[in-house]
Amino acid sequence: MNGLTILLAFFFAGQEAPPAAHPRITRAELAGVEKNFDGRLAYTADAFDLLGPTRGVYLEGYGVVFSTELNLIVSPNLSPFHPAFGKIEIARIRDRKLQRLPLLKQKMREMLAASAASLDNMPPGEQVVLAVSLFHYSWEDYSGLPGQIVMQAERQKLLSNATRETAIRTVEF
Amino acid sequence: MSCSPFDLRDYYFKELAENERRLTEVHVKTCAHCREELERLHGTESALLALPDEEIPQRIGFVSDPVFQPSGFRRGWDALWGSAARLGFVSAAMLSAALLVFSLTRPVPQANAPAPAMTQTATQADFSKRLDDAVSKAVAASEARQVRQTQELLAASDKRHALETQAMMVRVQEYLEVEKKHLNTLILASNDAGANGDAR
Repeated sequence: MNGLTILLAFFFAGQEAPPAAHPRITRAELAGVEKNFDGRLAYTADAFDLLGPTRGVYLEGYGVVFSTELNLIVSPNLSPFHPAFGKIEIARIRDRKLQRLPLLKQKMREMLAASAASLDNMPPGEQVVLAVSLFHYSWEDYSGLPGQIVMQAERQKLLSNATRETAIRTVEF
Repeated sequence: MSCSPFDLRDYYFKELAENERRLTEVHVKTCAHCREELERLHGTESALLALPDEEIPQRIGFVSDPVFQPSGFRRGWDALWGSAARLGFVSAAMLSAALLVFSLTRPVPQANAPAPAMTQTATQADFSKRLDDAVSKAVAASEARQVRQTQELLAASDKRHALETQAMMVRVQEYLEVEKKHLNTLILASNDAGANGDAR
């Protein structure tokens, strides 16, 4: 999770950007958005299994990047009396994850729009990026399930109801 | 049945008296049935007269005449088949003759080569020794095969057990990592809650 943030930070740090003594977005603003994201993902009725708090970073001249890691479902535990899962159980876990995937994408779109609205000091032309890493155990059948979903859109377009849905670009890894 | 006053056959063969014949003639002229009977008699006579005459045989032959007696061979053949004792005797004689002919014409068999001089005891001892050797070899081969199979099974079992243990360790490590992440999330949330409480 945080590795992606650091990578993106290094990547965008290499770009030529106008030096600024005081970033437009403060850490407090980002922390508020992070908590909002955690609340939407982990503390609702249809919560996901959050494996780390959301972390955000502002890249001057580009925008904000948030990343987090979660499991689509709370996977059942193995025990000495149940050391492995059968094929039927593994297939059932995969089906449950596939059913939860559209909900996560919908929540990510809502989170992008909410962050664009809450970051008032962010220039409208800058990007809002949300990256969610999906955790799968090695014994799971995660065929057809992405390992990471990245959604990105320009803040100005996210603020408009007319252009919000078409502005969001989604990439799955 | 004829209704004529006299027999029509006597009338036809002219054996009636004159007055009887006249009365029959009058009746026949008036009776169609009797007239038809007379016509049938006439047809029968004509058919008999059409047959050719045959000579009466001048001599009658009897079965006892010598000309009708069978030949000697025929009489002997009949006598043979007519008596079971004779038939049995002839059959026995033919069988004896066949045996005699077969024994005279049978080819003389080749004399077998003499068997090696080996005592019965020595043969039995050699056979027992070879049997023991064969059984010992078979048992040794079977035991070696079983040992090899057992070793292969044990090796496969050990390998499978090692793989299962390794997979279990990977699963346990994954769970530990996940639980560690859960714990970190809870700690951070708790810290945030504490900081917010302090701020309030």
